[in-house]
Amino acid sequence: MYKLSAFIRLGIIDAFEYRLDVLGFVVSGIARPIILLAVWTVVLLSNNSVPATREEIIQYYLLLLLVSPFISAWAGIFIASDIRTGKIAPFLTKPFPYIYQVLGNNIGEKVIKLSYLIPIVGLLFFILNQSFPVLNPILLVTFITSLLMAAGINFLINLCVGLSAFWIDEARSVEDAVDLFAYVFSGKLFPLYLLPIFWQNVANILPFRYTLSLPIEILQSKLTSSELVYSLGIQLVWLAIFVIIYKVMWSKGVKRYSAFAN
Amino acid sequence: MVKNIFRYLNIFKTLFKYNLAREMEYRANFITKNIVSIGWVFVQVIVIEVIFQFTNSVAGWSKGELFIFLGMLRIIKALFDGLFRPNIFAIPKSIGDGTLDLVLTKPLDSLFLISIKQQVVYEVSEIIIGTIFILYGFSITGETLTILNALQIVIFSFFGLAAYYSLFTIFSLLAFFSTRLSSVTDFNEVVNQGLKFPTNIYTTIIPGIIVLVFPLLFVSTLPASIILGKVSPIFVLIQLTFPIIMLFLIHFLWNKCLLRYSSASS
Repeated sequence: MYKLSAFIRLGIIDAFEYRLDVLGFVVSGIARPIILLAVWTVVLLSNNSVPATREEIIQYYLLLLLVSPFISAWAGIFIASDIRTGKIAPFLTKPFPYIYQVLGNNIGEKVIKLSYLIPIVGLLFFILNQSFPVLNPILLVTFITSLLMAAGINFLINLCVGLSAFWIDEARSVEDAVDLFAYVFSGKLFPLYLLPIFWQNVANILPFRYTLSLPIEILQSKLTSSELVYSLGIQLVWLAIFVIIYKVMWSKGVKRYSAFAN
Repeated sequence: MVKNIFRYLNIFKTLFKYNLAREMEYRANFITKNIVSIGWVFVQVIVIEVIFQFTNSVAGWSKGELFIFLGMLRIIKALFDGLFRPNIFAIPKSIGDGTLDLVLTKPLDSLFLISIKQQVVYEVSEIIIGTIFILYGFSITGETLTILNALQIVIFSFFGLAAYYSLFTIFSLLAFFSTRLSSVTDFNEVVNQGLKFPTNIYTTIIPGIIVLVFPLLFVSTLPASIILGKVSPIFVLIQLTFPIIMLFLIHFLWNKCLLRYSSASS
């Protein structure tokens, strides 16, 4: 744990050094939901057959802004590059797991990102005349649990994408393909309840809903008690599946790996 | 002047041939990129279908018109991604690690050379998809695609490209002020997201936002509006002028920023 906290501190220092760059990421992260919010607002101006109110849609995208940075992961492509170029080799002999360095960077950069983001989203809540949903203690604990599991699943998916570089040259294409599905089925594009029923069912099976949409659905109190328990159960199953996939990929990948140490 | 233009075109042709040969070495990459690209086409179609299941028009754009708009955007974006994107995105890195020195020492315009070093040929498929979007859009609206329309699409694609190129290059110039600027790719994502819908969607909600989205207007909203006859003829003149002004402005700013560049050896 001490080693991991040292990596988190390093991650914070590194992200702080390049704060203009991190601010760029934050601003770009805000833009997409705001644009989609604008589109839905225009649709709602002239139409009332949308199965959600204007307030619900605005709240969804504002919560999306807030939840997204918590669950974001970006290490895959760097891991793939480390594997391809042999830079991962020195880490294999170090007295700490390679994942610590990746996790430290992820959490450290998130701390800086959130320090920029929370005031901006707070301001947007104020400008758009929205209030943050008030949750009872049980729902709050459920939300936090779901958020942590969502971050875990997303991080592990990203990690596995990076580790695919042990076997294939073009891990970037794998990442692109995963992003494609995540884009539609995680709720990043629009609330999943706006999808036609068939696609909602598909989203309920795939892991992507459990990386983003579920915590927001809990915040918006969109689920009944039984739906909530069922969804959290599936989320836990997906987390366990990706932990196993990660462990298998890492151990098998390292065994077959050969590179010049540098 | 004319001799100079031919000299630059010849250099571009040579580099393009070299890059084509290089890309053909990595056929697997070429194929996977195209498969993923088709996947993104489906995402775009899903977005439109989901939105239009609730409405017949968004900010005055019908479903067919939106497909024509998106087709234009795809063609313009493919031209940028194929001809300039890897080069423009590499500007921050070459400023950071000092490899810009190699460009500055060549007897050519440095912005031209750094913009055309590498090309990505698989973007050709995007042009085909864009064309299919346009044809599909025309079939939904029930209007006929005339030769004049086709000519307009070709001409305005290049003017849209000039606006698009200027937008991305201006952000890359920020690298002269920050040693690491990897968020340039994320800025690309922001602008691309903003471009996916006509700019009047944003101005419908907040009219004042026109100041912010003004440059986006010239990439695909205005070209598509002209082709669909949604704006008065004066806008044709504006569309033919403003992107050129943007290009001159970028060139001017590039030269100004170069004065800040400290090179690898200093």
